[in-house]
Amino acid sequence: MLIGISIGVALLFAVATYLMLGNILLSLLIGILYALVLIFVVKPIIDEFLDKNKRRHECYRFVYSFIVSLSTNNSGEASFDLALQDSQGEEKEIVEGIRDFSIKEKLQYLSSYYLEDYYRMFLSIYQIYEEQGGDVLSLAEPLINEVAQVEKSENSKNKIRMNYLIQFLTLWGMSLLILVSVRFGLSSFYSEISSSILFVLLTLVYFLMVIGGIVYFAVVTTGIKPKFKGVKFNGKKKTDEE
Amino acid sequence: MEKRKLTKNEIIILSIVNVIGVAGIVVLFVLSTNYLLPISMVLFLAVGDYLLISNPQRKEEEKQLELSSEFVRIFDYFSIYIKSGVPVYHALEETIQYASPEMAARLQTLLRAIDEDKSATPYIEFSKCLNTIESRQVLISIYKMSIEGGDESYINQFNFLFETILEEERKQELLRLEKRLNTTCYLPLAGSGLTMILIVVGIINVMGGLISGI
Repeated sequence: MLIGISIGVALLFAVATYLMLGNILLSLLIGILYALVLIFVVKPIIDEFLDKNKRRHECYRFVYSFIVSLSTNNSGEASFDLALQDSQGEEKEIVEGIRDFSIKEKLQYLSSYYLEDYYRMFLSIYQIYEEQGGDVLSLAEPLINEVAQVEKSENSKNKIRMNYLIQFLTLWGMSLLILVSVRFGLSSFYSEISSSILFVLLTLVYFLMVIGGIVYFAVVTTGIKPKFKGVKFNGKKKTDEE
Repeated sequence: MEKRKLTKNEIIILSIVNVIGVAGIVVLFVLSTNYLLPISMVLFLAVGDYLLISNPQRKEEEKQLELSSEFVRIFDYFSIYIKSGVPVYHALEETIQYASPEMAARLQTLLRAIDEDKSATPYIEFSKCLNTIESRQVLISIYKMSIEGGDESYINQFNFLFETILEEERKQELLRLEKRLNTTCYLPLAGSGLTMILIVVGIINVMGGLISGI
């Protein structure tokens, strides 16, 4: 779906460039540039961000359900199955792959999938419960509160991100609309305007600003920097250890 | 916070940039009849100097802020261990796994210092890297918890102090996110400004053409 949107946006800006400059070559260049940047730079950032969000939510659901189930049935295996009965996609594949592991091994294995720090805390709490017994709800109450707080905080951040995304798209949309309306508003002598080299250069700068703005927005919103094969975004080469 | 002094390399880079800049301004001043260009260059050089000089200080402040945020984040896990009944020293050891390499090294140093010195000194030394009064108060309450062996009043005191800074840190995190996202909205405004310049350039071109055609 993201690839479709990227190609759609690239086409839109190629058409806008053609409307503004009347030059097919420049329009093609802008369209190809937009498609390449959106597909190979912006899309991986968004994919990674959405994946992190999904795993965070799955982790929250798992930890919460596991602890609540464990407090009623006192069985790690049964609680594990109950907590993951509605799992989908990659989570479900992992769970099916580790079906034959012991409960400790299963929980340990999932720490490679659930990237939240509190999951390691959950493993520690479960170990304490296994060794000492007692009421798992009282033992895990601080963890459950922390997990709920983290989820609430991330949901608030996502709301803020969505608000700013709408603002960002609206501002650029209006700016593009003004630019295109110049084309039609001054149509009677537009051919003279668009023949000026300065006008062509400024229009190209505008379109470069748009794509630069989109990349900058994606990086700032998600906190994820673009990665290029063999080279990190800050120009340093990846080492073998990385 | 103390102002960070420039390093030798930074001073060399600054000097080279300024020498080139001043040479360029002098050449332009002598050769050009239009003084706007050398004056603009002087302004650019002044802004560039300001950015070069303030950049290390800004980076130092950002690093300090990161360290303080990390302290709150990882001691959140410390507080969970304490509430679960884990002793203070063991809880500090367990907290290391959530820390960045720099913070983990500082925590290791704290633990080694606690092994040798049972006073509040190791905790106060650790708090110096954080530079906030609240963090120091939290660390002193941790010290009191450690010597009183799990007395509930000291645990409550720690919880109260820590919850306050945790709440504040969560609010600040949201504010920092909003501040960063705010900067992304300047580009569309600059784009609109560029559109206005485009219109003006276009109209001036047409008017110039019309006038020269008269």
